[in-house]
Amino acid sequence: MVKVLEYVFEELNTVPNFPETAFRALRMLEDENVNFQDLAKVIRYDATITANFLKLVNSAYIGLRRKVESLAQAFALLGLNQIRFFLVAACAGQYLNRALHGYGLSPYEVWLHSLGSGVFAELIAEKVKIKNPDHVFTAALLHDIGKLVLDLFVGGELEVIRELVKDEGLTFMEAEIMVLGTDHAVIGAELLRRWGFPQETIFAVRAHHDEDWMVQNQAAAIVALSNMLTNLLGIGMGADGLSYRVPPKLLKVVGLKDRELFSVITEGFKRYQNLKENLLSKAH
Amino acid sequence: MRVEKGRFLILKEPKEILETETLGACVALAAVDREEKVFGLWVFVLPAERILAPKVGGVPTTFFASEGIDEFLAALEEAGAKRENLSFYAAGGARFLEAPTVFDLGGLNASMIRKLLKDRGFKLAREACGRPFPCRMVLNPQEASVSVKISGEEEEKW
Repeated sequence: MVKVLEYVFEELNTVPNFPETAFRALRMLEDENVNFQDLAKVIRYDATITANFLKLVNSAYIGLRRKVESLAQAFALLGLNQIRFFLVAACAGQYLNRALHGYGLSPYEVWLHSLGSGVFAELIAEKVKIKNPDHVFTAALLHDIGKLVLDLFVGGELEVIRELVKDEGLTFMEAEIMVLGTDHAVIGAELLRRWGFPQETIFAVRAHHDEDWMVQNQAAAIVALSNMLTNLLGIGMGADGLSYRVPPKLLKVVGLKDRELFSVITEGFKRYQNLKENLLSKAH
Repeated sequence: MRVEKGRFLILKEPKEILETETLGACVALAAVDREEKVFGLWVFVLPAERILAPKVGGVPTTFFASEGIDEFLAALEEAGAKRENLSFYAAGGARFLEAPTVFDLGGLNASMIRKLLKDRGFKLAREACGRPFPCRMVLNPQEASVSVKISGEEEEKW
């Protein structure tokens, strides 16, 4: 197992850094009075982020009447939280765009799962009026980033992991730890730590499958719930599926009542479907 | 042809294969009339609209089992299917290993479709519901077969 862990950490070193442009922009967005011209100057130097940002904004569920063709135009239409959301989503797309054979996911499914979780996180953050939603969006969009690193190793051991889930009643994460010595949430959190993300974001990613940790604070609980709802709807559902336990007090920590859950699922699915259909129509 | 969640597709003597996306806790219901060669595939997401609090507008009735079932059955008959010939198959309805009842959407969906069919004098010929793993259903009209592929398991063909 020690040898496998060594390989996992070697693989971790091969993942490219999160774009510095995005970090600079996110830091600027911490100021509520950010100057949008200055923000556009920072972002436009990264052509990929700019292109992805505009594509996402034009595909989104916010019902824009005409096509947005520049960052300045987009900033004038969006709130600060939406700018943060699309900025991280635009960057996440650069990482979450390849097949994860070990988890049984196509590049398209990996990307849709990330977007779906982001959409649910945004909706829930709105509903419960969380104070600093930016950590929530970022963590929801990047929560499975550790799967990029662990994919190869999970693929080799998938049968053993699955047997542990079926026969021993372990969660997929517990089985990953037993077989590989680590799990995709730990690896994802380590990646975000190396990239320099804030502690709150790292914690939410680390906690997204851990029944005890996910109820330690509201942001972590929202990220975990967003991932669960995305999986319940089968959106980019990987080989781990629903092989997890849901802690009884999750909804209470999130700030939702039991009876509100089904409306959140319906509203979130509508938003996600709209975004997906628009992205698809633009791709063809 | 891909059947989106919350929608159904019914075809008479089709050449195309009908298939679902990964189902999660949603349930796919396939209906087959082998004599009249009518095939239907429906994926619903929630058991009933009345459980929404608050209500959500702009959602098709076929998003919900309870509200969509009669629409699905009527469309099958409209396409030429006969009630006495129809066979039904269900898959999906994934469930967490352990979860509070409110999260057991897969269990609720599977129970609801059994009840709705029973109330209308039908029953499921076969079903594969409730596993925690990703599952897809494929309806092949040429073979008049329904296949269920659950990740990590042998494909089941009915």
